Amino acid sequence: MQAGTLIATASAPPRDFLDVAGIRKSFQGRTVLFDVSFRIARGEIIGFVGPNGAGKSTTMKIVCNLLRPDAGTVQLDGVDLRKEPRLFLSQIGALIESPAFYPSLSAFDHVAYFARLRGCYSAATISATLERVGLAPLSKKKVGEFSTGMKQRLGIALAVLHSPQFLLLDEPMNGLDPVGMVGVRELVRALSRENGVAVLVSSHLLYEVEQVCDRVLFIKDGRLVREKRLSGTTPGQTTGVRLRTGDNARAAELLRETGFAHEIKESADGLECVVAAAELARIPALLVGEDIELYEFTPTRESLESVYISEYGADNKRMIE
Amino acid sequence: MEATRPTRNYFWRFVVAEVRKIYDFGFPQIASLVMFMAIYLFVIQLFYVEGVAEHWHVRNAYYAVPLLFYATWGKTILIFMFLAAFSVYCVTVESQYGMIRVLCAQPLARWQYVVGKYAAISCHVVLLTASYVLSLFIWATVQAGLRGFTFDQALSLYGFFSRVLIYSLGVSWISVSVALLRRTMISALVTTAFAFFGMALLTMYRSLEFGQYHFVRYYFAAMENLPFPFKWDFPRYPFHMFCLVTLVTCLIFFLPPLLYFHFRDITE
Repeated sequence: MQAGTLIATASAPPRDFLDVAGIRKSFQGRTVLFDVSFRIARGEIIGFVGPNGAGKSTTMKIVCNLLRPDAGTVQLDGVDLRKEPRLFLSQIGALIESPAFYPSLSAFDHVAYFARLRGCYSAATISATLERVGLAPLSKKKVGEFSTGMKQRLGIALAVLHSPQFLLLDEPMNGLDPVGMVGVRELVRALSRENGVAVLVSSHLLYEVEQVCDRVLFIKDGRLVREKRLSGTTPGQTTGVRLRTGDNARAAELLRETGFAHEIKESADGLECVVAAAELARIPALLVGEDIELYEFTPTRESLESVYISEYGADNKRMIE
Repeated sequence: MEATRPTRNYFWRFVVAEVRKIYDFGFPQIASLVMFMAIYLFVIQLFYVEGVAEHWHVRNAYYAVPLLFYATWGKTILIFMFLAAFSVYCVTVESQYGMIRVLCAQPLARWQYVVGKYAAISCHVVLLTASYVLSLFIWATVQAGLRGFTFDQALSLYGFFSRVLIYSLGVSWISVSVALLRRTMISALVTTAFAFFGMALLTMYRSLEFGQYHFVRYYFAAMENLPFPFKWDFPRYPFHMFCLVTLVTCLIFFLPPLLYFHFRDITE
């Protein structure tokens, strides 16, 4: 079984909305995607990270019908992309590799064009969409005079214009200023929370991914190599915790005996433990119940950056050498 | 929430959106104005510099229109070149600026995208040609008047203008077909030029049987050794044959991009 398949099915969300199964793609005899499979539930926000050329954009282009996979299926709410592409595409909004847009048209003209195409044309809808991405004051300005960040906002406006059920955002934060990033983050969260929109976001900005996503998929050389859940807990998930107690040796022994801790590292400052995420909240009570004074209890989470470095750091090192 | 089948016709919405978008580009309006001015320059050349009225008996606009069209063909062809370039631009603007990624992710079948492009561009070509023939008629009338203008002459002129329209559409459709095979404006313009040169070369094989170069010769009517297609009152070139020949040529050009676009990956 391919790594991508194994990882994705191990922690598949309960209600799948998007189901990507075993997609493979080659360009001129060179395979760039190997049986990539993953699922996304309604309202879930998934991050898609990996180095340049790993296959993120190719996967996203396949999902929005720009590329035809050599093998595999893509289904959205049971609708197969190959069998019913128009029905599939009517439910998605996509921003793929920020386009340059028509330089002689205004932001309003762009949104109006796609609103006509999608059948949701009205001045109010267009204004509301531009308002949502912060482009309302610039709606009459020609896009040729726009900065990269403004174009990025326009791309997002076109993607969300028709209230899609599934949103694909390829590098949506590129070129945005900090305020713009916060705006996009809030917009994505709001769409997910209020409208149940499923979102697939690819980005190199790990902090942003960490802030907005529920789950992150790591892709490398065309294969899904790892998955990390950022919100909630899943069975078997572990987390780190730093403890400083009145009697560190006894605390360590107790955590080992009860099976709460999988790993314990003792240092002069206290204990660094890896514990089952589900048991984390019970540890203070356990220690206090055994009359061990608790001075510090700090859950530590493995950062996305550290996971990324552990996955791709060696490649980067090789590249530097 | 269950997925509901799209009930509205995305194809027609796409055509309407495209027509409006091309209008928003502003080229058609500017081109119409420039054409009106340019034809006046043709009038100056023909009537005041070359003094054709002294050699030809130009009684009214009916006689002035063909003179203006034929005698300035070397310049008139610029208008058709503009139509070709305009058609190429309207197709390749999507690839050039990456909008093809956004468009092909819309609920449109690939054939709908291709046919929609033809339809929307054709609408503007019809309007541009209308403004061209109207300019031609207005200046011919200004120059020669309407004295003695009969109903038969009006019909004949109408037939001539219809041929110009079909010809314009043919030039545009061939350009659209070639442009759909290319991904940048420059490459599409060069390939379109080569396509027309190629057709011209094809017509040079005079030993070929009639039917074999029939399909392309009308696009090179200006070449002196070929029969000119825009004659009216000329039974050897009936209107329906002109339409058939011009449109069949377009159909031959139409099929390759349709198939190519249907199967190709959008990688730009």
